[in-house]
Parts: sequence; C-alpha cells; structure tokens
Amino acid sequence: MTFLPLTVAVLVAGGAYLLCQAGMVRIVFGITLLSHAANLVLLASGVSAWRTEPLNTPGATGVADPLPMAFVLTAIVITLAVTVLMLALSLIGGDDNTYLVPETGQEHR
Amino acid sequence: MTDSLLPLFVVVPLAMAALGVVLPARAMIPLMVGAPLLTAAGGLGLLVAHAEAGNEVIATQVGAFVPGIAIPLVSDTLAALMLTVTGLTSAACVAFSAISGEARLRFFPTLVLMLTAGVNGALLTGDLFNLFVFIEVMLLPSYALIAMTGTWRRLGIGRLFVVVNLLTSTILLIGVGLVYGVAGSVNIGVLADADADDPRFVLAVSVVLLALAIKAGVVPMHGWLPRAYPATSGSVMALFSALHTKVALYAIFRIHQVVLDGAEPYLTVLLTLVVLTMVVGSYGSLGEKMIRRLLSWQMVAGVGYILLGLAIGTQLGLAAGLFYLSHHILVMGALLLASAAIEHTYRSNQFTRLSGLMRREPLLATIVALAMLSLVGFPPSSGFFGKVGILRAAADLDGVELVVVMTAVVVASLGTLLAGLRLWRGVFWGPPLEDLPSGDREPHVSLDTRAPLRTVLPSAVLLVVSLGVFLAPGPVWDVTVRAADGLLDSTAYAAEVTAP
Amino acid sequence: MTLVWLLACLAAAPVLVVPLSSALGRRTGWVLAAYFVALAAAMIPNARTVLDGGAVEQTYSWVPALDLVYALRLDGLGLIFVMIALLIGAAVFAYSAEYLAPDRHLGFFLWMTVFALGMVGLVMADDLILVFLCWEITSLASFLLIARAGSGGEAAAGRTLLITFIGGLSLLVAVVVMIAATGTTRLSEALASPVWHDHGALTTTVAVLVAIAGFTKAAQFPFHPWLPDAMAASTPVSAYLHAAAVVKAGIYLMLRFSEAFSSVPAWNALLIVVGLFTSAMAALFALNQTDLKRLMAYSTVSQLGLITAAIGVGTPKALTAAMIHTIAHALFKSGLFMMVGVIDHQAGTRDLRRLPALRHVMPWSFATVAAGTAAMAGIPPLLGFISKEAILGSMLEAPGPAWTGQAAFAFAGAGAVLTFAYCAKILFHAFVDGEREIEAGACEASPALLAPAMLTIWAGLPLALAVGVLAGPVDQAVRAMSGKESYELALWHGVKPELIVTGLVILVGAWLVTQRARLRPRLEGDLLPFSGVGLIDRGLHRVERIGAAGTHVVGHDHPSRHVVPPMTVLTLLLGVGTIAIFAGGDVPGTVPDLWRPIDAGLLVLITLAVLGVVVSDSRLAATVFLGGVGIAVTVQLFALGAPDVGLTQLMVEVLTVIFIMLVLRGLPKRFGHLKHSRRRGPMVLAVALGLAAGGATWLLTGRRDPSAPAEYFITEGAEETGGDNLVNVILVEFRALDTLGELTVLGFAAIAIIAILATVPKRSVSEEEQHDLRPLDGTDALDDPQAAAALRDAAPNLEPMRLLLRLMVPGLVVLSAMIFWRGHNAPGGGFIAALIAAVAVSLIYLARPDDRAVGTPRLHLALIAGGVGTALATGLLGYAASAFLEPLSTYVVGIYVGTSLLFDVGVYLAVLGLVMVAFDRLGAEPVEERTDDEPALRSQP
Repeated sequence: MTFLPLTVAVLVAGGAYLLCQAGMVRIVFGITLLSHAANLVLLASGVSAWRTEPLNTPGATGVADPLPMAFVLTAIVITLAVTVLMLALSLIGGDDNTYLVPETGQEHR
Repeated sequence: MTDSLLPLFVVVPLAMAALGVVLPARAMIPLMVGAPLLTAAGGLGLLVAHAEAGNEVIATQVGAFVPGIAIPLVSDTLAALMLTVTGLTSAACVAFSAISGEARLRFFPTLVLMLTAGVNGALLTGDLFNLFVFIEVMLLPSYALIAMTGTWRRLGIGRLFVVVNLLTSTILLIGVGLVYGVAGSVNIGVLADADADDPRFVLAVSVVLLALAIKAGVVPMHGWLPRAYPATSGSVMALFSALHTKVALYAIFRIHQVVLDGAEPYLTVLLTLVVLTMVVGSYGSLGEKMIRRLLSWQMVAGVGYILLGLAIGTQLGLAAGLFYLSHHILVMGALLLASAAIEHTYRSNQFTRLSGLMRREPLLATIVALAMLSLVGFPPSSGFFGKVGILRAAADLDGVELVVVMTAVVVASLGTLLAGLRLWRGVFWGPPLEDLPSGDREPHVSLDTRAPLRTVLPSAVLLVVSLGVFLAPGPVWDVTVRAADGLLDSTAYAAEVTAP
Repeated sequence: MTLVWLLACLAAAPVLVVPLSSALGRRTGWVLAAYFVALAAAMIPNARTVLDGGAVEQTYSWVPALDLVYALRLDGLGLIFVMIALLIGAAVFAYSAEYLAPDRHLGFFLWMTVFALGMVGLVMADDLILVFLCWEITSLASFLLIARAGSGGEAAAGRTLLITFIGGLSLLVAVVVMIAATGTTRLSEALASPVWHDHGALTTTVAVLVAIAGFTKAAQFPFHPWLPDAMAASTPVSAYLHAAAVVKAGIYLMLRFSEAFSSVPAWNALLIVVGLFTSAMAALFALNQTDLKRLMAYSTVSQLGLITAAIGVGTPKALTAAMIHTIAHALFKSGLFMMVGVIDHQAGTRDLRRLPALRHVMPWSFATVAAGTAAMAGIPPLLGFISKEAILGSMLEAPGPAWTGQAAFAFAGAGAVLTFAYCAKILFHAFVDGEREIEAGACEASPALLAPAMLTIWAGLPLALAVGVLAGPVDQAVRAMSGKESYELALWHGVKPELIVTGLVILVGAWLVTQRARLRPRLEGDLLPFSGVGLIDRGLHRVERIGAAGTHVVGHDHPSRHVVPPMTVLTLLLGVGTIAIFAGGDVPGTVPDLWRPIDAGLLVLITLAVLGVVVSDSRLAATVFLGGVGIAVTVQLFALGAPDVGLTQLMVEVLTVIFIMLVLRGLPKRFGHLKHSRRRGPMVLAVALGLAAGGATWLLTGRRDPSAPAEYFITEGAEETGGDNLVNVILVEFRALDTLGELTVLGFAAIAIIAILATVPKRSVSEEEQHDLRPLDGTDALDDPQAAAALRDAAPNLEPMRLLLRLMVPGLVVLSAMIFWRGHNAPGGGFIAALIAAVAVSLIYLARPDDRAVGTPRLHLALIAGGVGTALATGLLGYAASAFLEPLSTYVVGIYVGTSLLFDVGVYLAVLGLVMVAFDRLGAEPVEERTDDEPALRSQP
C-alpha cells in the first residue's frame, strides 16, 4: 500500500490531457505536470520507505537513496530551461494557438 | 592513456560552443566545421585502435571514481564507427550552411557545436541517465536550429518539434527511473549482468526503448518526423537526419543487445513494427510534392531497414543493420544537401516550380540520380550492399517470418523506386525551366542562374564516399561485423565498464 | 586474355568513349566495333579450353564478411553469350556509325558500352551476388538508353525500370535464399547442390522466383509490355537490346538455372505454358501492328516465348534447340532491326500503311529482309529453320503425360503459322505492296549502312549449311546445363513430325499471303479494349493514391495530434505489461511501510490542483493552480527526505510562475476556444495512461533492497569527497558530467531564445486573430479612471515594493552566498544559491516601473559563457590528477577548498545568465536582434 503511484497517475493523466490541447500555454502546463510525475517516479525508484535525509548523519537508519535525488535535481533544472524556451516560442506572433501556422504560400500537404 | 582522453570528444566542441557565445558567428564558422571533422578523425583513430587491439573495448571512469558509481565513457568498434560517420556527414552539412550563409545567423555555429558535443556524448556514454542528459544537450540546440532556418512554417513546426521531443524525453526519464527502480543501477555495464529474463526488468527497459523508438520515428509514432524536419532548411534537415534519428537507433541497438541480451520475446513485436515502418515510410513519399518532404519519408523507411537488422538479431543481421545505418546517413545527407543546393539556387523545392533540371544541372542531376539509386539499392553505390546485406541476413529467418520480411522488403523497395521516379519526374525531367508558365516560376530566379559549384560540393563529397564503399565494400563490412560481434557478446563491454 | 582482363577492357570502354566521342562524333562506332571484334578474337584461347570440355575460372576476394567472392567462370553456355554480346555489339556499333546523325552521342556510346559490360559480366559471373549486380547493371543501362529518347522515352523508361526492377528483386530474393540454403555463394556450386533434388516448397519457390526474374527481362507474359514500349529508343539500341543484351539476359538466366530446376514440375509447367502462350499472343499482336518497329518488338517477344518454352521442356534436345535458336535469333533479329532502321532512313517512315513498294528501289534491302524474315519464319535452308524445327520437335518431349507434349507441339505449330504470317507481312507490306508513289529521294542505302545488317542476316545461311561449326560450343553449353551431351544438329533429319508441321506451316502461310488483301483490314483493328501500358499506368496511379493516403493521415502541424500515437503506445506497453506481469505472479513483495500519512494528504491536494489546471478557462487561474501543484510536489519532495530537491523545486516553481506571468501579458486573458479543443478522446487516453503509469510505478518500484550505489554513497560517499551533503557531492563530483551537460542546457536555453527571436520579425502568426488578443496590461480596466491613472504612471504604486527591495535584496544576496558555501555539507549548493539570487533579480525586475532588463545583454552572455567555461576548465584541471572532472581538494586552515566548489561556481553563473536573459526576452518586448549578416531565409517576404 503506497500513495506515490496514485500521485504519479494523477499528474500523468492531467499532463496527458493538457498535451492534447491546442493552446501552447496549456501544452507547457501539461509538460510541467508530466515532469513532476517523472520526478516522483525517480524518487519512488529509490524506495520511498527510507526517508532520512542523506546528510552523512552518523548512526542514522533508513537513509534515503541520494542518487535518484541527484537525478531529479538535474531533471528539474533541465525542465526549467526547456520550459522557458517553450514559453518564448508560445510568445511568437502574440498567439499560442498551435493550430495556426504562419502562411508561406507553400502547400502544407 | 587514450581511454582517459575520451571525454575530449565532448569537451572540445563544448568549449568551442562556449567561445561562440561571446564571439561573432562569422569568426566561429571555421570551428563549426572543424569540430565535426575532428570528431570524425578521432573516431577513425579509435576504429584503427580497436581493429589493431582485436576488437577490444576501451572505457574511462569520469572523475576516476569507483566503477559502477562513476559515469563511464566507453568506445568500441560500433561507437567509433558512429563517431566517424556522423562526424563526416555533419561536417558536410555545416559546410553547406557556411556556404549558403545560414551559418551567419546569430549563434548558429555555437548551437551546432553544442549539438556535436551532445551527439558525441550520447554515443560514448555507458550510463542511461547520462544518455538522457546528453540527448537533452543534443535537443536544446536543435529546438533553436529548427526554428531559426527555413520557411515561416518553421515557427509552428518549432512548437511541434519541441513538444514531441519533450514528451519523449519525459518518457525516457520515467523509463530510466523504472530501470533504477527494478535493477538498482543505470550503468549499462552493470545492467548487462542483470537478469534479462525478469519480466519487470524487461518492461522497465522497454519504456526506455520506446522513448528512443519515438525519437527514431518508428511507425506508428513516425508522423511528427516527416512533418517537422522538412520545415527547416535543407542543411539543418540533413544535419538532423544524420544525427537525431541515428543516435536514437544507435542507442536502441546498444541497449537492446547489451542490456536485454537481444531479448527474444521482443522480436515478433519488433519485426511487425519494422515491417510497417519500411512499407509506410517508403510509400508515404508518394503523397508529397516537395523534394525534402518526399525524402523525409524515406528517412522513416530507412529506420525500418536498419531495425530489421536488429530484429533478425544474428551476427549478419546486426552487421547488415549497422552497414545500412552508415550507408543511410551518407546517402540521405547527399540527397538532402543536393536538395538544399537546388533550393539555394532556385528558391524552392516544390515540384510545381522546378522542371527539366537534368539538362540544366548535369552535376546535381548525376548526384541525385546516383544517391536515389543508392537509396533504392541499385549499383554503383553503398545502397547496393546495404540491400543485399539486409536481405542476405533475412534469408536466415524461416517460416512465416521469412516470407513476411522478404515480401515487405520487396514491396518497400518498390515504393522507394516509385518515390525516386516521382522525384525525378517532378524536378529533373519535363520541359526546361524557361518553358514553365512564368506564374509557376519563382519570381527572383533569372533564367541563366545555375547552382554554383561550391554549393554542390558538400553533397558530392558524401556521394563519393558512398561510391567508395561500393568499390571497396570489404573493409566496411569487416568493421560492421566486428561491431556486431561487440553487440552479440557484451561481456567485453560489461567487463571493461565495470573493471576497477 | 584472362576473363578479368576482358571485363577490365570492357569497363575501360565507357571511359574511353568520353574523349573519343568528342573527337570522332558518331564515327566512334567504328572504333568500338573494331575494339569489340578484337576482344572477341582475344577470347579464342579461352574458347579453345572451353571447347575441349574445360571451364576457365578466376576468383578474387570481394566481401569476406558476406563470404562473397569476385568469381568469374567461362563455360560453354557463357562462351556463346559472350560471343553474341561482343559480335552483335560490334555489328550494331558499326551500323550506328552510319545510322546516327552526325553528333557526339556521348550518352549512346557510354550506356551501350556499360550495357555490354553488364551483359558479359552477367554471363561470366560465378558468384550469385555478382550475377545480381550485373543483372541490375543491364537493367539500369536499358533504362538510361530508353530515357535518352527524350520526353517520349521518359514514361516508357520509367515503366521499363519498374518491370525490370521487380525482376531484379525477385532474383535477389531467390539468390539470397539459395545462398542461405546451399551455404555457398558460388553459382556453379549452388546449382550443383543436392538441396534442389527434393522438390519441396523451397526448391519450387526459388525456381518460380528465378522464372519471374527471367520473364521480366525476356519480356514474357505478363511482363512483356515494356519491350514494345521501349521502341522509343533509337534503332541501334533496339537492335542490341533485342538481339544480344537485356532480353537475352533473361534467356541466359533461365538456361543457367535449368541445371538445378529442369526437373522441377513447377518450373517446367510455368516456362512451357507462359512461353507458348506468350509466343502465340505476341505473334497475334505482331500481325496487328502497322509500325514496323513495334511489329519487330512483338516478334521478339514471340520468338523468346518459343525459347522459354523449350527451356521449360529441359531435355538435352530442347536445350540444344533453345541454344541454337538463341544464336539464330540474335543474328536475324539484330539484322532485321537494322534493316528497319535502313527503311526508316531511306523511305522516311516505318509505317507499313505509308510505305511504298520499295523492292524496285532497294533490291539489296529487299533480299536481305527476305532472308531475315525467312529465317524467322523457319524456312530452309537457313539457321532459323534448323532451330525452329528443333524447338517444335522438342515440344514432344515435354514432361508429364504424353498428351502434354502433343498439346505443346500442336500449340507451337499454330504459333508457327502466325509467325510465318507476320514475317510475310513485314516483307510484303514493306517491299511488295503499297499503292503510294515512291518519293524521288528514296534509293538504296549506302553499303556502309547495309553491310552490318546483311552480315548478320546472311550469316544464317552458311551456318545452316555447315551447322557442325556450332555443334561444338552448343554441345559444351548443353553439357554445362544438363550434364548430358547435346542433340546432334543437321539440316536434314529425315521425315519427322516437326518436318511435316514445318511443311504445313509453309503451305498455310503461303495461302494466307495470297489472301492478305482480305485479311489485313480485319487484323489491324484493336484486338483488346485495353493495353498493357494502360494497365500499368492505372495500377501506378492507384498505388500513388494509397501512398498519399498514408501521407495525409499525419498531415497536420499542431503538436496535439502528434503526441497521441506515442502516448497511446506507451499506454499499451505499460498497461499490458503491468497486467501481464502481475497476472504472471512471482512479483517480489513491497518493502514495508513505503508510505507516510502526509502522502495521502498531498495526493488529495495535488489531485485538486491538477483538476484546477485542467478545467480553469482563465490563464491566470490555471497558472495559480499549476503553482499549487508545484508547491504540493515540493512538500512531497521534502517529505521524501530530499531537502535539496525540495529547495530547488521551490525556487524553480517561483521562477516558472513569474515567467509564465510575463508571457501571459502578451496573450489572451482566457483560453477561450483553445480550451478543450478536443475533449473526449484525450480524456480517455489521459485516464488510461495515468492508470498505466501509476500501475507500472507501483509494480516496478519499492520492491528491492537498497541499491549498490545507494549503499556506497551512504557509507563511503562522505569520506571519498569530504562533503556531507551526499546529493550535492553526487552532483558536483560523482556525476559532475551530468551536471556539466545540465548547466550547458541551462545556459544555452538562453542562447536558443535569443537566436530564435533574432530571426523572427515582430509579425503576428495570424493577423486575423489579433482583434481578440487582450493583453493583461490593464487596458480592460480603463473604465476605472484611477486604475488607468495608476497604469499610466507605474512609479508611485511601486514605492512599497522598492522599500521591500532595499531590505530584501541584500539579505537574499547574503543568503545566496551562504547557501552556496554550505552546499557541500548541508542542503544548498550552486543551483539553489543561484536560484535564490535569481529570485532577487526577479524582484529587482518586478520593482522596475519600466520593462528594462536587469543587466546588459553583454553581461548575460558573459555569465553563460563564463559558467560553461568555468565548469569545463574545472573538469580539465582533473587531468592534473588522472582523469577528466576528477576533483582535487584540500583543507586550508580547516576550511574545505576543492575544484568541485569551482565547478559549482560554473553552475551558479549559468543559472544566473539564463534567468537574466529570460527576464530580458520574455519581460521586455522582444526587440529585433542584429545578425552579423542578412539571414538566409528563403521565403522571407
């Protein structure tokens, strides 16, 4: 019995739904939710039973696995970078409707 | 000693990229072309080293920490081969962008350099999470490059490309997490010793493989590729086709063989997807009216042929797949760069606006013809041995699989031939450009324009290499067979990566 | 001369013609003719060995990895075809030197020589893949030669390539299967392999595939349409194509493989039936033609049908007949084609309805064509008679019950009548009949033009009289194919069924000739409502439509559609996988007490917040909810004992929200029509994927002991690095390479943004959408005068904020420094510190009455470059010890000093750089960037 998988399920569902929407901003939100989910999966992979902060405290028991934490930290920061980039993209043309494509005079299909 | 130098494949281009942030683009152009060439040279050196040392693997623990804890960078024949081919091809691509003037766009060179660093890292790393990181290092500059060059569609397309790749990266990340959850390590060398028959382990790893398959454009997850790539400029598309899908394919080969030991239960599924990819890809071209859109579908088809080698899974199969991989990188590069040269001169790659270029551009026509024939599998170029090798390997299958695969290859090759004829009819045959109704001609193309030789050279170089492979197929096949051996028996790899 | 030398000389020809043709123009033909004759002569020594029953072999290593050998082998069969290819080639070249218009004709000479090379290579190749290679070369050469004929030829060339390509593929499949089955790539060994003795599915399949390949090139039904189609090519090309090259390649293949398959029922049946049917059908079509050249084409198809049938019978007699007829056909058909060229050349047309009675002005041509047609019709005393008679006779030997032989015999006889008829048609309509006056210009052709044709045609007479000359080579060929000795050839075999039939044929034929005036109109109508070419084209259109359908399925640019397939596949993988494994049992149990009560609370909060994000229509509200999710997740991270991650997440959350706010200023207030653009499908997918992901997480995590790395870090991590904060030491030491990549991504995200915006002019994606863009800059609050006033002059209402800043910013800076310093031992480090500093920057930015950026662009770039540079430099310092990124550290008066600290500085700078650029670009209106030079945008208006 554990709750993390449920939390993951909720976040993934929300993210997936938003990803299917037209608005770039909503898509960005979707990606954000998905990466929350990914981070929780990573931490869960370190076994959520052991939760003592890995600060080299002598004699501590049930110390959490620091490796996934490092992974998550890296992932969070990468997500930040790409989110900023996506926000910049959604600014282009002052509209974030991904169904609208700049006209080029060329056939699209 | 050489092993501890492996990180330089990443460090050198990355340092150049950092330099490019503060220097003007024009000053960076030599470095932009130089870095991939250095990569190719280094890769060649490694190839020789591996060959002389009896196909041995060399690895280094970054930071000199304990093996299994530190991130290993590993080079074997396969990695070295990939470094060589991708390096050479991307050098040709960026050389074109330097010639066409694209490279003078702000930060273009520095972004390309970062891309190179990411690719080299992804090819050399022996750690799944590190692979994720390096793929991100590849993708970030790509997001910019795809949205910087090409027609205005690139803006909408930029969004498509970013979103699809971000989703994929997230899936990859989740996959890595699940692998760690099951096996308690993300070190490929350690995972090689994990129990490949544990279904939970297989499931976790297959999430990683799925993410890579999306990046590679495997049917039915291919749709974004032929939409996104052609929207950017010819040279950038050539660069992407040589790097992105191919790195994903490389990783699939590596993980499927080393981590899953070429897991049997997979093969039926894999075979189905592969067959679909070949057929759907080769026929998808028939709906397109632009050169590079037509070609983008052939990229998908190529992925099918390459993975077919993996699905067959024998030494010959893997070797054939890797041979096809190298051939496909070269020939797609040649075709896309030739198309880029046409666009650069005639301001369009639409069939309706081009015609009769055969007499007008004999050199370009020859290049495209030979490259297209190569894609179909005709002599005299690398494609001939690519197709022969794949089919020869497929002949070792039996029963239904044999029939299905043979039929699929025949059907797919026909599709590719039709695509080639379509391209030829659309661009090179037909009345001379002068006779087109002026409405169909690009306004600012005067009738005496010809493609300048310098714009044709990059694709010519790649084609010449492909022809060379046809004339001397022996050595190349030896290399791919050694690479295949390395994949079939991963003990050397695992040992070297985890050796104290 | 050795075989490989022969090939080398032939390979040299295409190179030589480049200078030659520019020097001599069409006269190059003479040189090539001489060259080919010389090559043929040079083969005589080899020919001797072959005639003495030997075979000449040469092998070189080719592709060891595929155990391909560059193997050449000349036996009786090969010898005959080599001679045909060379000598007929010579004749055709000599002819073309006169026939072609005075010009360079580089393409013609180039591809003709390549053609010869491919053909000779094919018949000498003893490696199955080499066979295929040469086969493809002949396909390509014919394609190129036909395509040269200009716009008319292009479509035809395309169809030809398609058909021959199908043949090529089926040959390739056959070949690789043979290699796999026999374990050798040598043609001679593979054919001799015992594998073929049991006529199982394998043997039958391979036999059929080879037959198909042969049919495509030998223009047998249903692959025949390309040959008449190929008449677009110039006459010398046709002459070579029909008599010696492509079509003969098909015949050669079937002859060669009959060694293995001559006793396979499927092979016999297929070849006999298709061959005889083709010969009759083509003969009928031939009668139907009015264009001399097309008539000739169909006659070729018909003649090849007979040969195919004979190969199908496969007895020594039949094979002998096939061989001798191949030779005879090569002679008279090449000659006849050249004669058609002569007629065309002299009379200015080759349309039988418009040709006058040329015999008066062209007696020599008349005589020659007469001899040629006579040979084709099988009239004594010509070589054609001997071969045709032999083929007829061999039909009686057809395998199976007696009646099959008799049926085949009768059918072939009937076909012979038709053959006689169209031969007569050629002769009479071209030279005897024809009401139209002969133009003044028309006269006998020049000897130089006539000579080659006469040579090949008249050669049939002496050869028939002294047929013994051919006995030797033919015998060797038959031995090579069947291992048995050949059927002895002679002009007179005594009265046999075939002789009687020949007599009958001549009688009936003669009667038909007398009736021709009556028959002709009936014959020249359309025989069928459709044409083969038409069928092919219609088929191709259908295929193109199917392909286009596949293209359009994914023909949209918006991401929302393209993310569906990947997510669906992921759902299937995770869902099915999880269920299957769980059903399969033997899943290790979970570690006890994986959860704490707080998890449940957070689950509820997160669920609510996510719902909020999904349903809210206001962008602002959605953003707030998103922030809510972020905070809840942060708490969860802390609850999981990950303070560093928690802090980072918190900072990132703050920044993300601020950035989103900045972007929202430029966007509509509500999602409006963008909300729930597609509802049900996504909802189902989302729920399914959510469940699958959750299930997989539950199944694959929390079920193992502490991992080896975890053990290592917890027990030895601190001593190894002298840092207590394990997460931080992993980031900056153990896995510094990850961090290097990550800070590069971070820094270059800023570069990417600048680069993209630099290429985009301030131009809306969609003009028409502009009107409903209502930026959140308060323009909608203008009805409230105070608010309007406040907006017009922002400075005053920012005062309190400024005040706050004076207190906070210094504090934040100090905090940032502290966090940075303590990072190695307690929660903190480069990222968190930099993010805190970033928050300070954001406060400064927000407190600005205007949109001015914090810091200059130059500073931003310097920060980024400096960050990446520092990290790299630190890494390289590691080489001082032994490896890249190896940390060097020491304690100076008890204070830890290490390169990893330096590395952290790199991280710090990069983060700061990105944040500042983000404010600059997202905050301030995107300003047009200077590029060093005009961007190479093609379709820029």
